[in-house]
Order: sequence, then structure tokens, then C-alpha cells
Amino acid sequence: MIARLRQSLPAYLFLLPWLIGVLGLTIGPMLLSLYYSFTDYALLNTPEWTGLHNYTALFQDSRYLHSLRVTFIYVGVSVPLEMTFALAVAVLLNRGLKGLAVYRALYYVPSLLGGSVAIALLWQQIFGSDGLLNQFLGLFGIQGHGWISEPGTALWTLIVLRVWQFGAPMVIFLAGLRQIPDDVLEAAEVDGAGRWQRFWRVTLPLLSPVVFFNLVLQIIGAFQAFTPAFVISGGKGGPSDSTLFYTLYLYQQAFGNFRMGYAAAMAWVLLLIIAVFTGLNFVLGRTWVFYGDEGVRR
Amino acid sequence: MTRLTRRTLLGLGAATAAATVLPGCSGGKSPLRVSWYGPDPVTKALNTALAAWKSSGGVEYSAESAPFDDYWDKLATQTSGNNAPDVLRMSMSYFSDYAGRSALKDLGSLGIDTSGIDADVASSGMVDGKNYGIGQSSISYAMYVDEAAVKHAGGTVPAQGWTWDAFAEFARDYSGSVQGSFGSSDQAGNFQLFEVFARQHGTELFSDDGGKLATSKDTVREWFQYWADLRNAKAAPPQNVSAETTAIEKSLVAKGKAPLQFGWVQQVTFYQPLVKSPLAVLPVPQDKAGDLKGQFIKGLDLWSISAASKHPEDAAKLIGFLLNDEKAIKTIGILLGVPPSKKARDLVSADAGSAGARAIKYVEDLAGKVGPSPKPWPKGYGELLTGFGRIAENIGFGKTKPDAGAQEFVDLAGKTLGQ
Repeated sequence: MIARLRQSLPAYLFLLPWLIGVLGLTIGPMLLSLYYSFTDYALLNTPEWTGLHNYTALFQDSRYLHSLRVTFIYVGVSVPLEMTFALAVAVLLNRGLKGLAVYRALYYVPSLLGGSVAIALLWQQIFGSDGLLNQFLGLFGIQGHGWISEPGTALWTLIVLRVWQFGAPMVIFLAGLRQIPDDVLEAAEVDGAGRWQRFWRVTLPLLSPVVFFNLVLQIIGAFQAFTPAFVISGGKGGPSDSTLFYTLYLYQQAFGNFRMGYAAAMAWVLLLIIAVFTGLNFVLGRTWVFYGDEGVRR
Repeated sequence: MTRLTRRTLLGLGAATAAATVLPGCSGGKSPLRVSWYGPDPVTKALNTALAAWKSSGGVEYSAESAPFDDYWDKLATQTSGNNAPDVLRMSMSYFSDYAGRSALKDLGSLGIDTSGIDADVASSGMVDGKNYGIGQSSISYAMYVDEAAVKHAGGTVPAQGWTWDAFAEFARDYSGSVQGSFGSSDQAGNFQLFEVFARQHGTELFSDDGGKLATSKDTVREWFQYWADLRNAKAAPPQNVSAETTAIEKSLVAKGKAPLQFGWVQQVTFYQPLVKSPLAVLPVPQDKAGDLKGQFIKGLDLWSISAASKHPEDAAKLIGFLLNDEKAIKTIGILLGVPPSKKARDLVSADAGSAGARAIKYVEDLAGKVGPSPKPWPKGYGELLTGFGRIAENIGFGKTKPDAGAQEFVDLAGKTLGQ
């Protein structure tokens, strides 16, 4: 026993910084937040146990339900759009373009910047009522409006912002496309398959694991989106709650209204929602993701 | 070239480790932390005042500042982490949240010199016989009017301001005569102006113990309806225009699209640099002409010391310095509000033509005509403040009606207050 400990001790010592990080900064706070979610905790006082009260109160809170709706629309619209866009560009870039590395980098940059405060501020400038977009529309005599200050369009500017960050999934798609062996495509061509058929019947099935990977990551990421809505709406989720993302409402409750327990409950429900969606993805994935080894097993 | 040996590396490592650990647990005192909210001019002035404190023999300090909204997120986190700054700027909007949860020190025994300070301001932070904060200023709500613009449009500005009816009429006329302009910005979501309106309707905004809304649903509805009517008459801008006036430099008055703006009296100094002609400081509209009982003068921003502070004596000395030292008074001017002592007001209003001097004169003229100061705003005020704005916005966008909005606000107050 002691001998074994002595043998593994150096390993643990080397792992120590990481272990401290995981226990102290991830698992510890998570457990604490789970505890808080069952309490009335106003940040400045000691938490008081209230059982399931926070969780039941959630579903009677109309703004909470509204924030759920906004988030679902955001995820449901932006993820498919972003994925389609990323795939389309990846396919274009994969056709042996000159200067591919340059384009790839160029399209990837927004993904690095997109979550930042600076870009959110830039977005405000572009979609404001005397912003770039309206000036551009003005050239054609089209009267624009304040895209961000209008509840009907504010969420769409955030969706566009997300789609604009298509670079990360695009790079992964591109890598996936590179892996598809040419001989398969050539064989299909010889067999008389057209361009569309080759794409739908050969490329896409072979790419499906990559599609799946991107889909899972993007859905999780979209559910957790926070910064753009926070910056663009000045932390309010406005106009008229039209950009009240789940995470933004959570933040308001926790730090604006001193309801840390309530916010903790919201965080755990979000974790559950994301877990369900990810689980669903994996279950559904069995029907359409093709790993190329099925044939061998059968 | 020295070759790195294992020993030098070890030494280097030890030295780095010592260097990173030492500041945390050194025997010496950690600096006094001072924190405040406010726009850039406030931060600049307070930094200068703190430098003066240091050079007049004050202890080492470190300063933190943030815009109003961000400040509270940060302070809540710091306080719950037992890491609140020693001296902090406290707003009446959140005062009860902090004082009521024992996050602030009782200043009673710390010997801060308040002898020259107006009595009602010095005691703004009194709760149950304990003093959790000393007012930085006496302030009142005000209207800043670009008189030149009004005259240009053929109107006149009454010295005591308008009644609400006359104001509506003025706003309609102005919008009608100046193309692309509005007679007023939309104040439907302005909870602080609404407090004056509520008091003009005979009740305080909150019950004395802060547990309930004292004003009626009818008054709230009437308020929302008043602004809805102005919007419909195009005397106030549509909601999507208002939604973009989020900062001082984006306000209608700064852009020359409205001749007036509402705010706390000292904020006229933030607007004045953006408007060419001088802004007159006037009382807000009244129910009966010349009756200013709805308004009040109060210290709404306070200097407080956090309960967790390890050097309350130094913190108290700094607060005394900021309130009484001549250099500090001159540097701060009226950026924090109208100074709370006669001595300070005289020092600051020496520059007679300035917006600051007009603001001071406004508050001095108002004294004696306004109604009694309300009690400190209750716990949960911050949530009502944002909630009121949100509901007004929903009405402005046509998502709900004034009547339903008023009900929604009353419900919100019922849920938030008295917890």
C-alpha cells in the first residue's frame, strides 16, 4: 500500500496544480452552487434552506419563461444557419483555391473575436439607427431603422453576430473534408454520380461525424451565449426584453437583484437543458452519423 | 554569459515564490481601498482629491471606479467574498440592501467631523440610531432647459417651471414648430421623476417601513398614460428613438433634438459641455403651479465604510478629508452633487457663470419650498428601478397598455418589497 503510494506520489505531485484547480475552481464551486440553489441567499447574508422553492418559483416567473423562449429561438435559428454557412464555405475553400491558408485565416478570425466586448460594441455601431447598415441602405434610398433598438429585430442582430462567427466550425469542416479519400469520390464519378449526388451521398455521410461534433459544440455554446447580449443591450436584455438570454437573466437575478439562490437554481436547470439536448443529439446521432466502420461489423 | 545551473534555477524559483507570496501576507499594512461609481469627470476629480490626501500626509491608498450599473455587480461580489473596499460610495438605491444586511460599519464612534455639514445630509444614512453613511451632497431632481432653443422656437420658459398640463402643451407646440425635434425626451421609465409625481398626488412612494408601495395603482397608470399621450402626439419621441438614448452623449438634448432633459441637479454639469448655450436649471413640472412639495432635497449618495474594513480609522479620516478639506472640495466641485456644507458651496459657486453655480443656486432656492425628505429607499429598490423602466418600455413598444403596466408594477412591488 505504502509502496504503491510512494510509487504514484510523484505523479500526484505533478498533477497537483491541476487537481487543485479542478477541485478548488470547478468542482467545489459547482457543489456550492448546487447547495445555494436550495437556499435563499442574498449574497450578503448567510444562505437559508428553502428546499425546492427556487425551482418551483422558476416556472411561475413569466420573465424566466420568456428568457427560455428567447434562448430557444436564438439556439434554434443561429446554430443551423451557422452550420450551413460554415459547411458551404468549407466546401468552397476545399476546391483547391489559391491562397487557401489566407482565406482560412481570414474566415477564422471572427470566431476568435466574436465573443469579445469590442465586437459587440462594433455591432452596436453597425446596427444603430445612424449605423453603417442604415447608411448603406440609404445609398439605395431605403429607409432603415434602429435594428438594435427595435424589439422585432434586436435578437436577429445577435443571430447574425453568431452566424458571422462561422469560422471555428468551418475550419473543422475543412479538416474533415480533407480526410475524405479522393478515390471514393472518383469511384462515384465513374459510376455516373453528378456533383450534387456526390455531395449528398458520399461527402456528407463521410463527413457526418464532423457535422455531429460541430453540432454538439455549437448547441452548447449557443445556450451559454452571454457577452453579446450583455454588451449590446447594456446588460438589460432589452429592448423590451427581446434579447433577454437565459444567462443574462441569470446574471441579473444573481448580481442585480441579490438572488444568488434563485440564480443557482437557474444555472442547474440550464445544465439539465444542455444535458438533455446533448443526450438527444447522441441518441439521434445513431441514425445519421456514419463512422465508416459499420460495414466491417456487419 | 552565465550558465543556468540547477541551483540558480532553484534560487530563482524560490525568489519568485517569495515575491508572489509576500505582498499577500506582509507585515506592513495593505493600502486603504477606495471605490466609487460615476462617469469619467467624477473619477478624474476623485483621483485628484485622493492625491491631495496622500500629499497632506494620508495613508497609502488604492482606488477603484466603475460606471453606476457595473459598480453594483462588482460591489455585491466583493462584499459577499469578504473583500469589499474600505471606503465606498453608496447610493440610496442600494443603501438599504447593504445597511440592512450588516455590510456597512456604524460611523457613529469614528469621529468624522460633520459639524459644518447640513444636518439632513449628515444623517441621510441613519437607520435605527446607527449611521451607515454620510451624505456627500444634497441633491434634488431638476429639469435642465436649453433656453436659447426654446426662445428660438418662439416659446418661453417660466421661472418656476411648468405644470404637467402646461408642460404637455409646451412639448406639443415645440415639436410642431421645430422640424425633427421633440418637446421632451420620454420620461415614462424614469422612476425617480415618478417619485416626485407620486408625492404630488398626496402620498409617498413607499410606506414608512419600506415594506409596501404607498402610491396607488391609479397614480402609476396616470403616469404611464401621460407619457403615452405625449408619444402619441409626437411631443415625446417614439420608443425606438428613446431606446438609443442610453448615454449622456446620446441624449436628445445633447444631439439638439430636444430642448430639455431631466436628472439629478448635479448631472447638469455632465450635459452642459455637450450643449452650446447655457442650460437653465428648473424645478420639474408640478401639479399646481408653483407648488414644489413633490420635490425634496436629500443626500442620496453617501460615503460608507464596509463592515469588513480592517482600518476603519484611516477610512474615517479619508471621509472627513473629502468632506472638509478645501482642496478636495474645490476639486470635486459639484460632480457628486451640491456640496453639503455652506463653506463648500461658497468655495464652489465662486465661478458664477458655471453650470455648477446654477445648480447650487437651484438647490438653495428650493430649500424651504420642497416637501419633507422621504425615508431611505427600501430594500429591493434597485429591482423596482429597473422594473419600472422595463414596464414603461413595454408600453412604449405597444406590448402592454398603461393600465396593465401599472398592475404589473404594483405586482412587482408586492413581490419585491418587504422581503
